[in-house]
Amino acid sequence: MVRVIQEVEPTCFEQMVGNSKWDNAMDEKMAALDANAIWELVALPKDKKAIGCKWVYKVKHNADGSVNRYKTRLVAKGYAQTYGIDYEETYSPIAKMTTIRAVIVIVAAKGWSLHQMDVKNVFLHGDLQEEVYMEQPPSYVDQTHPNLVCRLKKALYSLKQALRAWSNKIGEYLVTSGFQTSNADFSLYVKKTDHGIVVIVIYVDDLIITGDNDLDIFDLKKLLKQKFEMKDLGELRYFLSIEGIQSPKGIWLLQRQYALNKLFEYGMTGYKPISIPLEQNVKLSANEGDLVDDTIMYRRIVGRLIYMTITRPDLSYAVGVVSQFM
Amino acid sequence: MKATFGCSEVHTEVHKTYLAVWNFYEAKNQVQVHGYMDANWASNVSDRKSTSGFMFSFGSGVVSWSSKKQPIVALSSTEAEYRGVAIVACEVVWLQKLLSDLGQSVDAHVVIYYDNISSILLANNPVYHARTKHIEVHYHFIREKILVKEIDLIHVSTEDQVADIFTKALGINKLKRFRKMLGVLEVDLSLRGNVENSSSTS
Repeated sequence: MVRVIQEVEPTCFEQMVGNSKWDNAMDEKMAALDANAIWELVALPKDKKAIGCKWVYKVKHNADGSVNRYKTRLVAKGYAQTYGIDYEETYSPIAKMTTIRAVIVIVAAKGWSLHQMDVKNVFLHGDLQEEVYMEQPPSYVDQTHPNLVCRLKKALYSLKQALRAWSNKIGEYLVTSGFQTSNADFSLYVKKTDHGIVVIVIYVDDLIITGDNDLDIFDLKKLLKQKFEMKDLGELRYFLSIEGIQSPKGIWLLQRQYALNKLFEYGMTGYKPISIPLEQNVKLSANEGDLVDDTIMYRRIVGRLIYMTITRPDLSYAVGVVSQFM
Repeated sequence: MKATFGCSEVHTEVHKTYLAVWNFYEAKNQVQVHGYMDANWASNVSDRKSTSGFMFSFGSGVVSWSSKKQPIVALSSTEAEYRGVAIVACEVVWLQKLLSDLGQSVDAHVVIYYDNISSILLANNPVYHARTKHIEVHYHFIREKILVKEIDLIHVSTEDQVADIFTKALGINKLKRFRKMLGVLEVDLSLRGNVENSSSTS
């Protein structure tokens, strides 16, 4: 048997009112929002609409499955936004897994050091170009001005343009600091220095930093910490639910904990083992046999399996086959 | 004992080893990119579309790969493979760009191993062929890459065609051998304290 710690996450505000762990987390979040001057309270202009917002709760786990911290997030109801009124462009680049692996292969070969940072309150750094109004957050309504709304100055989670605002912001900053955007992957930035090269890969709020000179890496980290609120996670160990093991011989990438968590989540820990991902000469058909009861669950599991192929390319074909029936 | 979730192996009692991608290549002055490409013609029984797959490695661990059902029906195996080769050529161009952006000196010449002889002949020697008329664009694209010596198609026996793993279901022996070639190996987790401690509790 395997011990997989699962803390129950509240799904709505009413469920956790009075729970001090979550109350503290929310207070902390509100302080961060205030410190960053995310919004100002204004009267809603007549021709504008204010979108809603809500709290969401998440238990963050360590690579070994133990509880890391309780995390809350204030999210805007971005689905209520209207194109052309409170948002324009939404596209935002995200690092390709191939880029990350290519960087890791070079790191392993050249013996570079591989570091990781994460940005706290990532979207709150992105400047908002559009005029967006939002209702005041639940349980934090200004008692003296309950009828005012928040005019957002910076992006908030779940706003349609939040990701774009952040990647523009960090991209601009890196370019002014002498980095060049790669044409092969817009989330890859490279800077040639007097000593060599510094490389940074951005995956939303997770940053991978490497290069042939530790001094340059150190300088970059210092700069980033000054500019944005960041956490220095040191050498890369756990990234996007992928564990990285560095040894003098090379680097291992594995998703063991991820797989175990998913097995637990779908109640499959007791299932019978098989040694091949897909039986030979089995023809699957969309038109014969009984339909799967829970199609949402099927799609979700396929999604998890696709994520598993990051470190298990040998499963790609089998996952490709099952994903043709959705 | 092992427990398995669909297709992923997870060891639950003896959890000292786990399959993981091993990323490593020997420190050479030049990054040596090489790839394998394969297509399985009319593999899908219901719509007779083909599946193409490829993988690229810079040394031991696989960096880029794909397993994809082709969007349109191919009339011959050569045509299916041809389309696959054209996709692979695009990937080569991209990987070269990525490596040079990462400050690596790039070998201008990429070797792709391949087991369909007729496609290799066709790509290297442009003879007129009635069955290839409708795949002209793919054909010219790969021809050009070969002429300017960006890509070199080299024949490999089906036994060593590792891209097979991306186009069909394999038996256990081949699967294990190709897994190794992809750099998907068993890692000894007892090397790492925290993982071992957390999972040894029952």
